[in-house]
Amino acid sequence: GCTVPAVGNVGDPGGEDASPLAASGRKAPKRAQGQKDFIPDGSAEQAEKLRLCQEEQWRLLSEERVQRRGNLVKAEWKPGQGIVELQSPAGKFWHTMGFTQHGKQCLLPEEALYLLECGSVQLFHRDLPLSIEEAYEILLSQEAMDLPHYQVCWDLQLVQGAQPLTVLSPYERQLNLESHCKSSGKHHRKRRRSSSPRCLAMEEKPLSEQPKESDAGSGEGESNPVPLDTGQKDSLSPSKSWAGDHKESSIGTHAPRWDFSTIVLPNMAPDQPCTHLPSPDDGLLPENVPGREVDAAYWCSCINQKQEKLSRKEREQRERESRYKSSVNADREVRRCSSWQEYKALLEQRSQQRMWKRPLHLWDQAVTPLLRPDEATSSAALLQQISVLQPSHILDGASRLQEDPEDMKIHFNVYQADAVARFKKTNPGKPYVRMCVRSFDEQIPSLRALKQVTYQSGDIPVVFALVDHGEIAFYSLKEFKLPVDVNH
Amino acid sequence: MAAAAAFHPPRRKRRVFESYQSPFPVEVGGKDFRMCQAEILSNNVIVRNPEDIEQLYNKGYFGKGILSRSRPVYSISDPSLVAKWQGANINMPIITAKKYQYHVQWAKSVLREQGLDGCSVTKILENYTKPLELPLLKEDGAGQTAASCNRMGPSTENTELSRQSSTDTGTVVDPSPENENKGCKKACLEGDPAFAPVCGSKDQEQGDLKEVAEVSCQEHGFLVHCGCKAEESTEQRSCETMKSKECAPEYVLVQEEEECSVCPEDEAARGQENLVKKEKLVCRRNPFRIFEYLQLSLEEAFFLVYALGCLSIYYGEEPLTILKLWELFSEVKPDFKTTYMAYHYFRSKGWVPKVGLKYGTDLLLYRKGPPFYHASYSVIAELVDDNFEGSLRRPLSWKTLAGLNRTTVNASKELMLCYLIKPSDMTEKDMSTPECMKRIKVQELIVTRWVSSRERSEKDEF
Repeated sequence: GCTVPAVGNVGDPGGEDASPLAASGRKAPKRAQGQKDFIPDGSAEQAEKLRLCQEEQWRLLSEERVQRRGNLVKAEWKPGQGIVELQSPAGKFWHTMGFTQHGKQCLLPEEALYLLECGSVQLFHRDLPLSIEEAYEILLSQEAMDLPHYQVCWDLQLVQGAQPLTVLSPYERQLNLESHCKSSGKHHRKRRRSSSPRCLAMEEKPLSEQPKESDAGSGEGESNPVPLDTGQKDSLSPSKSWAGDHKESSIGTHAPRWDFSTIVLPNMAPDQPCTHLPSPDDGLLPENVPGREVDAAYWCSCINQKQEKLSRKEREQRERESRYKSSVNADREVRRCSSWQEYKALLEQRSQQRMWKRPLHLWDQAVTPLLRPDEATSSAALLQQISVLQPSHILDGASRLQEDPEDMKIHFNVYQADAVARFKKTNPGKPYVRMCVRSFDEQIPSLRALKQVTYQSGDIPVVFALVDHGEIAFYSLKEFKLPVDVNH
Repeated sequence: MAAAAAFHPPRRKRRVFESYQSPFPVEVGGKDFRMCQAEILSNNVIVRNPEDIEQLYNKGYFGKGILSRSRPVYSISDPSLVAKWQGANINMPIITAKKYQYHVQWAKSVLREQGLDGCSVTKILENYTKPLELPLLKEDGAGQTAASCNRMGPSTENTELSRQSSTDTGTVVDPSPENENKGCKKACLEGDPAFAPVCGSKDQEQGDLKEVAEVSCQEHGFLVHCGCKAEESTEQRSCETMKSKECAPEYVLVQEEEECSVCPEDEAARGQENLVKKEKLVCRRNPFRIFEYLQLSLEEAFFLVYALGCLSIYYGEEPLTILKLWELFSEVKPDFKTTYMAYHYFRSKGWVPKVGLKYGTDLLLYRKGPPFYHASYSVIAELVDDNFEGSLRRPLSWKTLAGLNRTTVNASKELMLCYLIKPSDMTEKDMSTPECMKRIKVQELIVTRWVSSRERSEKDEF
């Protein structure tokens, strides 16, 4: 006959009464310790160990499970339709499995198979009950699901504790998606980041409108990913540096909103007779701070306007300084500057004129270095200068890939175990993840395939289930943006 | 929005022995910065100048010392001997006699390769390696260690010594009249560019070095060898690139055994049987110095030239242009463009990428630098077109990926796939210039193994 697949993890029955082990009331065998016995050494001891192990397994597998007749639901396999029709009313499992067709309760083959193994259902074909082996052979030979897929389902339920699965056809999936849109933002408890459901089926929103998953200030100190629609060098400007260095590196490219030419600061120097200060413009004051006009004459008289009397030490220091230091104003060019702006420009000009040995082999060429010394005004500015590569998001360009059929498709949804209470077949809620079953020998999906399957999945993460002779591992390839780190 | 991988803050190293200086070897603040020099040697890029090495490594952790694990920290000194002779050491390296002999042998073979005959070689070396009075020996410095005669070896002529001991001012070692100038010059100028001259005083300008080189090339006693077999490069340039620090002879303390008689107090005319083998430190010059150089990866070197403009790379005499480097490096390493673009991308995000060879990937990403944090990510770079397909450098099966992920996670890192997406209309010609990067997009992916709530030991997001 056909081989019976390994039953999940023999040593870990979980707590579900779905487990055959639990049903039989057996305890799980103890976990062995020490190094694994992995090389055949031909010894009698090893052979004996193996024999005992195999014997135990056979015993467990061949154990007849006792179920009360009354509890077993009768179901009939309908090969023509590839489904199983219930002959007696469904049990508890109806909450999460099965569907109604032509007024009759039905199960999908993999659901029936699962229930058969759990001992909840008795399968008949041509009036004869099917053994588990026969059921495997018959039900899984259909195109809808093959053995690896089924193994993943089993594993997910038994081992991973996921909710019994529903396989959705693309049409059903679309229905589900639409119903997501109708229900307003059901937030999954486990998810920290809640993003409002997005309807793929409806329309294609331009990517720049996608909600940013901003997590600024979350407990873990996660950073803002670089916004999608920038694509320019100034992608650095809104991003924050992270994890304890909570400094915002803003490269001030805004125009100031003050018109400094109209804001006048009164000169209160002693040589100026101005003591009358008008009331300041309300627009210049913070909220709730009233301003009023002032006659500062009284205050000026309170200020000590006498010559400073220096101690001898202070005088000597001043003398020393005057020998080596020169007043900035002694420079005629500086005196010519009428404003701070002009003075800064003069300094700039002077620094440019300083001799910088620009190596000709780098600068007198078609391609020159990205950074000029005068451009490295700050660490952040430097990084900006050298940032020439554009960021890309996993969904960029994904929509235009839909015409091509790919064999990479989503096989089923997985709902979380604690979502059982809310689960309704007509409105299952949002899946926790979507599963894509692959084989270990296959190549990992190309970026293209990954984009397609991610796009199909919408805002539900995609997980790849890898099957290797009953062993299953789950992997995902997730979008990521390395945050900018501006050190100081 | 597709679910994104969470960012996990990098793990700080428990013990940090250095302080952070600067993300790059360029000055921030719009000032001019120092240009460093490197050369191409057997398809590798190396930096010889010690100050350049310090600059490049300390500010951005570029490169790797060729004799060290990471930071160039090679010293001829044997740490166990230094510990042993704690009292006697006056900041000179201490080595075993055996090791010193190796150096002497190497110097000998170098001289032989020059064509000098055995007799001359022996004479030269004998002179150079003779024991010296410690020039800075303090009066109370001697005789500290109880277990041995701390006396220095047989004394030498005072006049010569005193001149030699003033080498801290860098005076030239006096020439031996016996050898012909020509012969000496031949010894210095040909073959390996190894012979750095004993420089004149430290005050001498670089311009004078050439002259000094010729003068002191008449010396035969200052054999210096680079840490690697160099290609033909002229003496001239290596003179120019050597700073005075490197030119002064290296003094070492050699631990030697000496048979010395028992101390006079116990003198009881016992004769030869009471010769005791005692260890002492003898100061000699190292005839075969090994300099550790900094080796830059092709990506690091190109970044310093193209992104920052703070490095010049010479091939022979000629400093190379950016375009020429791009072409040359692509010839040396066929996937250079791909790995470089990934390198550049991560550097422009303020991270420090180092080679990922040990983990089977292209790059390891460090925050700030290896001394401060453990590497956070292990990266594989791939170039694809804008249909998001391409011939992969490392086609991975799920099996391989699983294994790679396992080893990565075991080292507390995350596995990252970095896709570089180029427009389909980008031709080979377009890619013959690094400016093509402006049109290239980067997609990062993190590989994670999904573990259900049951198997998770700690709360985790998906």
